Amino acid sequence: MVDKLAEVFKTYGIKHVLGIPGGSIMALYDALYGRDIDVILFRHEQGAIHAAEGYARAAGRPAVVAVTSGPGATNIVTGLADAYMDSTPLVAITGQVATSIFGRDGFQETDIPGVVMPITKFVYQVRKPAEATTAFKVAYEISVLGRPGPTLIDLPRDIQLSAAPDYEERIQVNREKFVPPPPDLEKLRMAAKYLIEAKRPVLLVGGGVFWSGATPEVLELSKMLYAPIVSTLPGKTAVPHDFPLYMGPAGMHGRAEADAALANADVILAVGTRFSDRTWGRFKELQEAVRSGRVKLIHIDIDRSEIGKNVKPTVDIVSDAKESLRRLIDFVDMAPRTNQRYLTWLLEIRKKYEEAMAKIADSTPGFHPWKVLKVLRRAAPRDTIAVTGVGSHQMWTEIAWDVYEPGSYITSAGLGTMGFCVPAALGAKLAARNRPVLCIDGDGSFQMTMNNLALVRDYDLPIVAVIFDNRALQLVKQWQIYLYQRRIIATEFSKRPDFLKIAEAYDIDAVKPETYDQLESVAARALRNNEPLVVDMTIDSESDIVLPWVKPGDWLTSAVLPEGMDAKLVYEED
Amino acid sequence: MRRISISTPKSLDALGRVIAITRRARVQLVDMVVVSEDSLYRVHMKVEGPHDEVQWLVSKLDKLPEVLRIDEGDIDINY
Repeated sequence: MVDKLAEVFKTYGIKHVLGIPGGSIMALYDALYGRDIDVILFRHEQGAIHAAEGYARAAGRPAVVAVTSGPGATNIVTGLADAYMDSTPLVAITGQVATSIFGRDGFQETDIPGVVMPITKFVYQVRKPAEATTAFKVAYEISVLGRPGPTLIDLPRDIQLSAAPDYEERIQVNREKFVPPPPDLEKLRMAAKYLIEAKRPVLLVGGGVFWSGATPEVLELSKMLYAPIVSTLPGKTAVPHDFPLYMGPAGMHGRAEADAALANADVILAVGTRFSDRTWGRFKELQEAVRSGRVKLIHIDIDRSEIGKNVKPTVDIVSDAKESLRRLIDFVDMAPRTNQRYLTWLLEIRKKYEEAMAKIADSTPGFHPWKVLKVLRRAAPRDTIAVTGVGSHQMWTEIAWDVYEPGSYITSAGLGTMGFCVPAALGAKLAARNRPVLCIDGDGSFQMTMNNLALVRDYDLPIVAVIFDNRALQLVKQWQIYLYQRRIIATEFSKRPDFLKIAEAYDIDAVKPETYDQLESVAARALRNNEPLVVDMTIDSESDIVLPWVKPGDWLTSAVLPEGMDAKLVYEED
Repeated sequence: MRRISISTPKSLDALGRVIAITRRARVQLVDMVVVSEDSLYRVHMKVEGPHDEVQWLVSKLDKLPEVLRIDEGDIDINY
């Protein structure tokens, strides 16, 4: 049966299978022998599943991960949860013990469908050979239909080894529910009316805008309405940051002007976003403002279950983002108000922040993360795909890394999975070999999956990894400093390991720059020449405090701003 | 109290998924009956809780591809 499955892979355009083989998935791997499908061998299954996420976000289509039963399967659980939170399509295939020993605690037996039920869009355990190819087709198609997500099929060993039947058994699912309905035109007319009449409109862009390919419509609408764009962290990848009306991401470590734009808006058009507490801090202010009518909230989402989950909108539109925005643009048939004073106020906040950070960075001994990112951005070609780990370095990229091309910023937003960067960068490079890929990682995050650096040379995947090396779990330490009275526990690392030696062990050049100029020079050369490089940036932990910061449970206007930034985030009308 | 009626394929995995969602809802599951019919399970639930939370549950259940059909309504119905 596995040969037939491998043939189906080809018909779905699968070029790579990522994973690690083992006893219960050997037959499937054997079926790939000599075929025109590259098997990419990782050093840990977590690496394979994060690489599949990076691959999917760079390529816009799912990758296939194949791992063995038991620990092989459980090692991909974190990545599945990550993909589920960030709406990333991928198909995982887990080997399973033979059906004859199901439930007998066989060697490497784990009930993986039971484990992943709440964190997959679709999961299916194949019980008959005739179901195997159907299960893969359903899993692949569901992963991309509507709101994307991860799927898994569990393939027992005896099923893999059985003869392929000449028919396919049907699997009962309701696929039609994932096909987005056309937008409600009356609701769109109402939304257009609110937007035209708004004094301080804002477009809030979520990750759904990227998956829908709705960036052009967002920019067009912003220009028509003269409305600032704010994004969520996943939505950051959907908006070119040199678009003059883009304020940046809002939220816990968003930009101050973005927090201000969102908190002071009178009409919010939220597209492809799930209203995360990480974006809003808390919902009380927004809920009250919408309930009282002071704020009109228009929510467009492909997933009906996201509408009203945290905040009940004034206008709800369940549909594809691109299609909805295209129609909405048609309905914006009057010149909207323009509020130059408001925009000037927002841009003044931006200016004050940049000036304050420049002063702080210049007075910081050694490297400051904010300035490191500015230098790296200068060094990196515009089409560079930036991937991050999770921690303070990630939050700095949220604030200070500029995205120029949609889809070129890949991060673990919803689950916040440390260890994401190296493998996701490898996956992105696998999907886009002609583009530079920059992994911006922290030392804590890097150490969780650095074993996958072996693939850089094994498969010629020359990524550049820049480690923000503060020898700490810095974001947790920041919380300990500010929220736990500086009771520092279990967040400071020793000087081990030496990252230059780690890189050398994987046959990768490495450097510990001493100046910003040296950083710019080595990073630019590696990225432009498509050469792998590890850059160990020594960052002083005491100076590495990520600001702005909306503390957990606070409202956006309460953001803690950097020293020397004199700005209020509450707008005062004339 | 509200009634939620679901049809799924006759698979305990599908039922498991339904339960995995339901256990996260902020409603009280007052009653649940599963009836086996040909190739389907019909799941009938009585749930009690705020309207928005019931809607949360219905919409999350409706995201499952295994939920072939879902209806929600008043409780005064025989099943």
